[in-house]
Amino acid sequence: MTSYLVSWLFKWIVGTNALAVYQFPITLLSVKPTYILGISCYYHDSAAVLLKDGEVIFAAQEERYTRIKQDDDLPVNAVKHALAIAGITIDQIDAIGFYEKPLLKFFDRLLPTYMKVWPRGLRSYHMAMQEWMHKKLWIPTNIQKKLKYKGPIYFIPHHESHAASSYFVSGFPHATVVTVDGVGEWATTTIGEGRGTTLQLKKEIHFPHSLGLLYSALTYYIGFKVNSAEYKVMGLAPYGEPKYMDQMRELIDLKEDGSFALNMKYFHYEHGLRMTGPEIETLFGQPTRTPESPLTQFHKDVARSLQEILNEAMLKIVKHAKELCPSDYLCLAGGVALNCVANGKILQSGLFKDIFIQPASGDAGGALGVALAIWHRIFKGGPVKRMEHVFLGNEYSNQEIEEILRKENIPYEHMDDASLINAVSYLLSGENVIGWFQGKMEFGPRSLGNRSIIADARNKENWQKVNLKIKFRESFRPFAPTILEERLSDYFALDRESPYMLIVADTLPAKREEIPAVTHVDGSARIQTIRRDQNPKYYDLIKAFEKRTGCPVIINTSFNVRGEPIVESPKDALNCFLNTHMDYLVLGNFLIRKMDMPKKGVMDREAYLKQFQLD
Amino acid sequence: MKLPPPLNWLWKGWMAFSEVLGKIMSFILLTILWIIGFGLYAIVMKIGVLLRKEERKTSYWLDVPTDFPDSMKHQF
Repeated sequence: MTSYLVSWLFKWIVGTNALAVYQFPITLLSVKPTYILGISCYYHDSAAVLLKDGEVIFAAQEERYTRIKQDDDLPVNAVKHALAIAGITIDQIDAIGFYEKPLLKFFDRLLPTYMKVWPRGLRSYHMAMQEWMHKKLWIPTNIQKKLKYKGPIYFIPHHESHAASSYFVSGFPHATVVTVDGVGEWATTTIGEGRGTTLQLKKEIHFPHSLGLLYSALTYYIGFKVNSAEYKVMGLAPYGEPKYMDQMRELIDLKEDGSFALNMKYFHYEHGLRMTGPEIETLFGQPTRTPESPLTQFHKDVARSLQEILNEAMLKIVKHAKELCPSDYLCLAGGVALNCVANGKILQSGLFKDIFIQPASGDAGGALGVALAIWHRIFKGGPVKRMEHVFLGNEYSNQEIEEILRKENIPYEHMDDASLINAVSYLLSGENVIGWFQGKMEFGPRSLGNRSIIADARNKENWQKVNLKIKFRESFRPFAPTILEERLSDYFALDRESPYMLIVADTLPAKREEIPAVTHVDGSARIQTIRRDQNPKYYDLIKAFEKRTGCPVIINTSFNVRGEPIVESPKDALNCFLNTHMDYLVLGNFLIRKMDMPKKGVMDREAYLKQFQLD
Repeated sequence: MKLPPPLNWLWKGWMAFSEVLGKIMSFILLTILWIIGFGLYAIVMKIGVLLRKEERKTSYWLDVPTDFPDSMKHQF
């Protein structure tokens, strides 16, 4: 608040809007830092982000603490941890931002949509109204009451939150901005422009026409969970052929400028509780797949056709965006920006010199976006540094970990950093699967080396072992590699870093046999590159593995079982380790061996897995 | 509200009953609103749509509405 008053005073005295002129005195005169809390919740992936003078000092999703996958409740636990890490109380927060405009959504989109579909939609209307009347219409009150907060609360449109979450931390001085997701208030897709510390959205496509909802609807048709398992469809696509492109073009009218409209006679999400109905079954000639029933070639072909139409749409959108808002740089955000295959195609197109994709591109990232927008627009803050990593959650010291291990009566071995790296790199070569728990928790849906399950990428058996015996998930699902950045071009057809595992590129044909566990059936891989400055311990581990084996690539997958949120605490990691076939667990500087575990320490596996709803 | 232990069950029972009653009442009121309020407006809207001539679009892009001053302070 102080910096805001100072900036306003200075602006009034100097009589200029030039940021550079009054930024300098703000820094010198500010007595206390400016804290801004961004919040996203009440849909899915609720999260809290804390900025201190524009710098992200904490970001985490609520699901990690409540252990409810994609928890949508107000992120009180995440906020509690954010305040503890910053060493402040809620009274010291200068502003809270909410990632969308709830009243706009309710009065401008939800009610008119029910009028449009009337008399259908009664059940959906009842459910929606109960939820809105209880929670969503009282967001400021809920924030004030549950967080005991008395300061100002700001709101920006959903897609502006997405756009801000990408552009403001991209490090680009100027960029074309594209956001694509299910739906915000009205917008489902937007094009905008970022310049300096300003961001403006220019064009948009309105609900019900949505690429995110098209992908979700087909995810439902293929028998997976909506808003959760879209990435499975992406992983399934390479097993199929694009045999259903005619049907896809019947579902979506895609124009040359990337704009599109869905043929709503095939979709039920405007009025029903299901995404699709009998019309789409007639179109494809097959019934909707029941969850957990066998996947056939038909489902794989539908997945592939869907992925192809998405790639085509995304390429057309970014091409049109570049025409409208010319720039050498592109910023992407929104749930669809988590589609690494489409991202890879955009990169390969060569339309842009560089692209930045917000690693928490889903709704969790909206919390970051609104906080950054407040920093720039309300507090007139200066540019923010490029987001170089996502290790923004809480961490546990070795002392805390040891206390937990002692309390649980778990045998362990303590090692210094060098011995630990040496021992784990040795254990990693071959068939062992290792739980790797270090430092600060990642923000966003990916485990990037601090809450990860790791294994040897050279061993093809590890693909099935990790899928079926560790994560208890479908056998078709591929694994992502982590590779030392300096060795990237030796293994993959990618010419730049990919620190957030958000780009798919081909494994070089000569290397496909060397790393079969991370090469998908079509020869592609969802790559994560790592530099030492991004995560020294994880980098050192892979470097030691490379020295030992000559291979700079390992398997990296999230530390959880199917349907479980990624582990947050050493206790969560221990539970996951004890109830899967994982061979070793590394918690900080402690090595835990499965063979040393007392039998009574192992919980009933069935009971453990039942805690989590399958996605 | 806290009552002495023997009367606790009365309070809990009353709260549970009021919860159920609230659900029934809101169901009835929302249904009436759906039929009368939404219904009338929807019929007028649908007539409007029927009378409107459908144009074949060459693009589905729309302009983003202009922001208004202090918009961030509001939920709309």
